[in-house]
Amino acid sequence: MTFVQTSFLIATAAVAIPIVVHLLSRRQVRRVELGTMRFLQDVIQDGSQKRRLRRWLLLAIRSLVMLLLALLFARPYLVDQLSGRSGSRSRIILIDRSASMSMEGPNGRLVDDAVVAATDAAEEAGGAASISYAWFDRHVQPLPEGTQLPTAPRTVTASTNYGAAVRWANTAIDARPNNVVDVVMITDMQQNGLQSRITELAASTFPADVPVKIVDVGREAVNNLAISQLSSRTSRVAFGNRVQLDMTLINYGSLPYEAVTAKAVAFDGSRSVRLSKSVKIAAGEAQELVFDLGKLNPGTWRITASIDVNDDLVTDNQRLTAVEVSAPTRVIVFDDNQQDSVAKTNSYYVATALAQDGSNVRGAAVAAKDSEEPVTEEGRFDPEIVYLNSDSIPSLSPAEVPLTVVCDASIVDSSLLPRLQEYVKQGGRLLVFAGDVSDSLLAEWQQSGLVPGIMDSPIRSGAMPFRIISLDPSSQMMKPFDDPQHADLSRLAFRQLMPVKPAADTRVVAWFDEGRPAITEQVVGQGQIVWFLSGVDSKWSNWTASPLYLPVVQQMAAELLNLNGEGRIRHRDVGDEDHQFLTSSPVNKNWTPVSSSGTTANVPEQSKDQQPADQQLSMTPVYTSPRFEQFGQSLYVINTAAQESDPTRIDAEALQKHFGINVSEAAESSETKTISVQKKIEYWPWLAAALFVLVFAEFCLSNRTTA
Amino acid sequence: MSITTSQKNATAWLNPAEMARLSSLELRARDVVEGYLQGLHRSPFVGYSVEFSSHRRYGAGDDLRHVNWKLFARQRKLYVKEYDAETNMNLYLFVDSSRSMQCQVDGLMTKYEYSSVLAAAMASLALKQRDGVALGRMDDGITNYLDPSAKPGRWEECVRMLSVDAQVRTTKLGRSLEQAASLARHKGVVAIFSDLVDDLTEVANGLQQLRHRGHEVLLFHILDPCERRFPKSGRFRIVDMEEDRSVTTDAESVRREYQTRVDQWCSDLRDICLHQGVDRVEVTTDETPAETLVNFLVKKNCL
Repeated sequence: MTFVQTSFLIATAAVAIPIVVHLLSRRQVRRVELGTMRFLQDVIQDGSQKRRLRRWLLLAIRSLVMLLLALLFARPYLVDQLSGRSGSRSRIILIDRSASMSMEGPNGRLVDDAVVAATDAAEEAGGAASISYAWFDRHVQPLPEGTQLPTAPRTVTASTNYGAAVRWANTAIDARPNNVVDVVMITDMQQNGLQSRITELAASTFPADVPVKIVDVGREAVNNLAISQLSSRTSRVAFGNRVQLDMTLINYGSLPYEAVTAKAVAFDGSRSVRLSKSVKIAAGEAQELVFDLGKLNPGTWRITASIDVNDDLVTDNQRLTAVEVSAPTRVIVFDDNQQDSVAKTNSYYVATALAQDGSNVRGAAVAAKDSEEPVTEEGRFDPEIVYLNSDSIPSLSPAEVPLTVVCDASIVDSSLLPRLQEYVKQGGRLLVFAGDVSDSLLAEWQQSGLVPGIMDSPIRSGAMPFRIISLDPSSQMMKPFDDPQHADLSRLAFRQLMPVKPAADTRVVAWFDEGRPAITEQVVGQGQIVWFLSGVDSKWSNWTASPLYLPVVQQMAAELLNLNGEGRIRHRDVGDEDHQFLTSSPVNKNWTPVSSSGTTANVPEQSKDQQPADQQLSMTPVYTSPRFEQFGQSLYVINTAAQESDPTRIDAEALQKHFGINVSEAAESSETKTISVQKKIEYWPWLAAALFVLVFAEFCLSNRTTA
Repeated sequence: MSITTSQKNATAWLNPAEMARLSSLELRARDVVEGYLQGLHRSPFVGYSVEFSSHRRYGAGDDLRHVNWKLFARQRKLYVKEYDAETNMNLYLFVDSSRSMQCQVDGLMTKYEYSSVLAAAMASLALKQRDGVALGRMDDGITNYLDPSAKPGRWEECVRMLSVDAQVRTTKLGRSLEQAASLARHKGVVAIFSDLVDDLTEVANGLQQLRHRGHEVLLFHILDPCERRFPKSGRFRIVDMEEDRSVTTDAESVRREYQTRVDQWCSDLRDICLHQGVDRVEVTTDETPAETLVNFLVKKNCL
């Protein structure tokens, strides 16, 4: 048994007090001579044995009381090291492979030192112990069972997440309920490992009965100049505008850097633009640089920024970004030119709406709410109206015409429908508004596969018009309208709509009342189709006169061209999971699928349907290295997490406190710090209860005799 | 008296300590008597007979009821009538001088000294009235006895006898009372001063014998306060003065039981005395003898 306040044990000497008092009181006797003792003798004889017993009992109680008092203040406790566990020995070794582990160490890199330490930890456990290794950075990758020696990865680029490591370790410990388990975590003690945005503190604590050893392989003094941020003002720059980049450099070290060359290289696949600057930065300071790339040609420009410096962490000396320089997207708007004047055609409203600058659709919605004047700036779209009756139908190539709009589904004839079908399958985007479709045409639409489900002829509303009453909150298309205070689509009134029973692969993003789909989107081949299941014709609704018309049309078109949300250029960090891909998308061989527990595993290139059911892998990709990754129309720019550049370390006590580890009094070596887990079982409540009982008993037995 | 005692007596007159003790007893007794007389001026003892015998000069303390007022009117001198009973009334004093009477714990003096003072005081009062006074000491029997007499010097004889050290014998009260009954041949007042540490049956028999002879019996039950009311707290080594034994005890553990038994004993004695027609006075030696005697005599005169 050990004690919290060992010094109070001196007070146990007070046990002698009642004994001394007892002995002294026996000596301090007053001699009294009485005429007769016969009355006293009778009394004494009657209860002598009982009094003797009571006397010894009182002495024992008083001695116990003194002892308990001393123990109460000393606070004894038992240390329960591995309570409830027996059986074979297991050791779980977690090895940090975050980007900071690429710093130079005694054996090469810190991650190489970690591998050496892991080997030592395995040997220390003994041959009988089963060893489980796992790499951890943002996620945890366990090594196959039976791995003898882990091999250090060639590149380490992800950020640190201690929480993920601890959670995985807890899972592994729970999987071994009958084993004597301990954990060894080998890391460079980087503070940002506690600040991960996905750290769940409540679940990130080690069990109290599992010893944890933390091996610190980090470096105390680090010199690191890092590019912490690289971005353009906007991810999409209109053709003709200058492209400017903002770069932030931070010197994390204790030494200044003089005449450091910072470069920015922009490449669109055929041409490149290079800029460089010389910068001086003092220790502990940050500096902003601006690179003006000038007016770039239309296209997606991949930009790589780097600094030419010899510091301790190389992975943050380069950073990626991308900019899209684009002219307005060509959009063909099909109409039938039934009206007398162009201004009265359905396509006019659509084309006019598309021609506006919808880059701030929410602002446009607010402005539209507050005033009737649309926001006019250079638009993202270049709409071209094609009248089916008079104009020749241009070649529908997704490369030339990324987006096609059909203002009225009834104007599409049997010759156009197949072309639209082919156009979409090749990757074209189609926006269709409902119309008075005849039964035969409806059947053709149904056969074309371009409809969102089983469609029916248009229906008219009764006295109450149809209104859009609910939206899909996860849809980027409908995001500007999620707050009715800003844009309330239920204000739009429709006299007709086209009912449809959505197919399984059709996504409904807005509903009329009674659950009727209002806006749907679906993937067909390599393209996408969005249906608006009411019309722009005045017979259907006069919503074209509403301020909400423009933002709705802009959002639908932008969704098709991947301009909503993040847009075409999406920024990710190494280790991020991406949930935005449709499940039917093809697997990218550069992705690493992530299991449901958060661990990564090497899975051969195969679709989700071909995966064995017991592997339970999702197709959520995890980015493993900094690079550009094209997927469909989106370009993913993957960088190392900026916080990984910060070499600030945490001390062992902070880590222990964070994960609920108690410090042991074991000796510490210069290279490792051993922290064992102890579960203290304090006994002072029981001592206090026993003391109370004894004091009460002493009070009751306070009459005593020594005869 | 034994030789030892007589030798002691011989030297007692020369021994300053004994002289002091003797004079102390004498002084105390005188204090008691004078105090009583100053307070009441009435004879404590009233004769049984009313038969006129003779006149004598009035003395301080004589009952004014017996003053011959006619004679006073004629001769302007006070004379009291003497009755046969008055001149024949004897006061028999028996003082327990056993070992147990040497007990002094919380009292003002030992029980024997206390008894001696009371006996001497009563003897003085009686002699002032020219009553005969007899004195006996008893322990395992009557050891010393003075026949009743009212001669001058009797009081000094009594004081001298009482001042002699006790023989530290054990108490045999029953036998002593029987012997006392045989010694007290003429009717009178028998005053017994004892702690009554003996079998109650024998005590009752002794008292009965005294009453059978027609004596008025006064029983002064003398106890030390410690004997009557056991101490409340403390550790004690109790030594029996009559028997050679002792016990160590704590007061708290035995007091209640002891008290119960002593109370019962006193109650039994009270019943015996009541049954026998004996006046019992329970006294503890923390009260002054004067207070005790005055209270007794006042109470007696009031009844």
